[in-house]
Amino acid sequence: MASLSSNWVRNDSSPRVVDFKAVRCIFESGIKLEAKPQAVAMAATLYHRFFEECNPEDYDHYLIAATCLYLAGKVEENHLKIRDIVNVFHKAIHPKLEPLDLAEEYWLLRDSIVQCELLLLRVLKFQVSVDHPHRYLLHYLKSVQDWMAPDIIAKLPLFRTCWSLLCDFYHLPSCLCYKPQHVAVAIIYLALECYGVTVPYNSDAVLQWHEVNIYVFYHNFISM
Amino acid sequence: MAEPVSFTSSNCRNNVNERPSSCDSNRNIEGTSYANPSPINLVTNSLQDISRKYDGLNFIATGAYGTVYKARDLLNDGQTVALKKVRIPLSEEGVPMNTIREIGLLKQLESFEHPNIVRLLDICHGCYHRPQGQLDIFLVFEHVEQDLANYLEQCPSPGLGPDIIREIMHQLLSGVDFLHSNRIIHRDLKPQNILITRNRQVKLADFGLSRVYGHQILLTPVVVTLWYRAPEVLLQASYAMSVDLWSCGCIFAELFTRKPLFPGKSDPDQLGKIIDIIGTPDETEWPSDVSLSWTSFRHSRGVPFENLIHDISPEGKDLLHKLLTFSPTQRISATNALAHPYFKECELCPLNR
Repeated sequence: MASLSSNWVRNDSSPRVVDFKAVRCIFESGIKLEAKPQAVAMAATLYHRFFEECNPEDYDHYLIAATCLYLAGKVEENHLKIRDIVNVFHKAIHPKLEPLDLAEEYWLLRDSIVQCELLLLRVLKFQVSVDHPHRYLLHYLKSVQDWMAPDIIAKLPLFRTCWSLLCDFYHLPSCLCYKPQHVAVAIIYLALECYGVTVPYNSDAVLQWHEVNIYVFYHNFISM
Repeated sequence: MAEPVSFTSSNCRNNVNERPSSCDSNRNIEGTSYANPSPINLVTNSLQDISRKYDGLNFIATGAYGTVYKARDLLNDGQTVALKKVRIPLSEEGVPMNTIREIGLLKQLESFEHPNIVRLLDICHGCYHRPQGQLDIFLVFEHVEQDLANYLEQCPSPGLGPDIIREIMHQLLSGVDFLHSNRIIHRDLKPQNILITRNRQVKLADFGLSRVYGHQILLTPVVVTLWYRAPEVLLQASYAMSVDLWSCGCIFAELFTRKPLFPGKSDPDQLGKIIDIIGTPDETEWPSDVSLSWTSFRHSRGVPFENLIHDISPEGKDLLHKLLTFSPTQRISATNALAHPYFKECELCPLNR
């Protein structure tokens, strides 16, 4: 039991670092469990929303993170087994330890996740539907791709970069502050900036490409 | 006993085994806190207890889906609200996925504030019944005094005028169209769960939770009315959005006559009554793999709607025909019904809201 008591979470400097590590655990576990990207994004969103409401000092961030992933699996119809979540999180937090036995500790952790799920639902007032930026990102990327020369697109890992940026964005609570459409556009903008690529004729255009995108989106939205 | 239940810290006391069995659900979760035992007011500030927020729980009715209470909302000038108690099973796996998804969807729908949908004001938690592993959840809805069934009962002779009927139908179909565009099938539309305010604003209630309630419905002795059920539901064939349009058709007729169109007593009797009026469908329209065969009903040529409903207009009759179409795939959709010529004049007479 001694190894479990390593208290490095609380000794860490800022709450941002704790959040970062907990969300990274969510991503790592999500990838290991082959969860859908929406489920992982949902888990991170739930995690940040929970700590918007609650005092970070009162809860074990990793338990909340594990529960968020479990709940997100249910919300996104991507059922993750509670047993897998316990094991994968345990491994992610204690990479050097042996896997948990099917003993009391395992059952307690499992029970804690079930109880914690109720707490999450209550704190979040059952508001568990989220519009993710993922699908916007995909649509916008497709349009941007069509505007650009094929050889530039072929050379650049634009899609990969955007995807990584999006995943990174979930590590901080500020991911709750923006509309999914804006997040998607901002990520493409940043990725293009990173590679020093511009959208053709952008400087001559009346509207910048990203403005067009938002404009088109709103136009579609309103006409719906 | 293994001490730590949290993934990391062990310096906090995790008293999972000391879970109190009291009804106070705040403490329930509190007793199982995973890190430092947090002060109780931390949780109660963000999540209020049902009894703290709502006063005077008065029993209204036991429906097929559970108990409904009337209460005063203490945080909002004591306005009257309707609390619907739903008991959800908690297994070893926690809250069932369907429950989470459907309640989440209801919350999502609420953000659109559609005028023809009853407002969901809040969701509260009630008792946790530990032996059965069940948790009570209260859905807090706005309270509307009257439903369409009462409204029709109290309507003086000679009944509603054609303009009022048109107005009610337009609102009813708008609500249904909204639900359908959010991929929700009501499944149980009937005058009892169509609410109508003093300003004659129609509001649909009791939607979207049929699967949350699903496990309870078999256990309640309350008889579920068949009168508004579509033929494919009665035949237990696969069904879709169009079941709601059938119900709208039945209600449309009832708005004129103030009595149910198909008051069946059992599934076969209900189907028989439907066939007597709309006529025997083509054999090819009969769903395959159903227990009741096409031949088990005597042949009927149907009754023209104008014989049953004397004051229906030609457009109204056409819409009724399209709503009460036997084949679910041929039946009109809510969006198309709203565009039907019957509602042409509707835009000329703005609703009093």
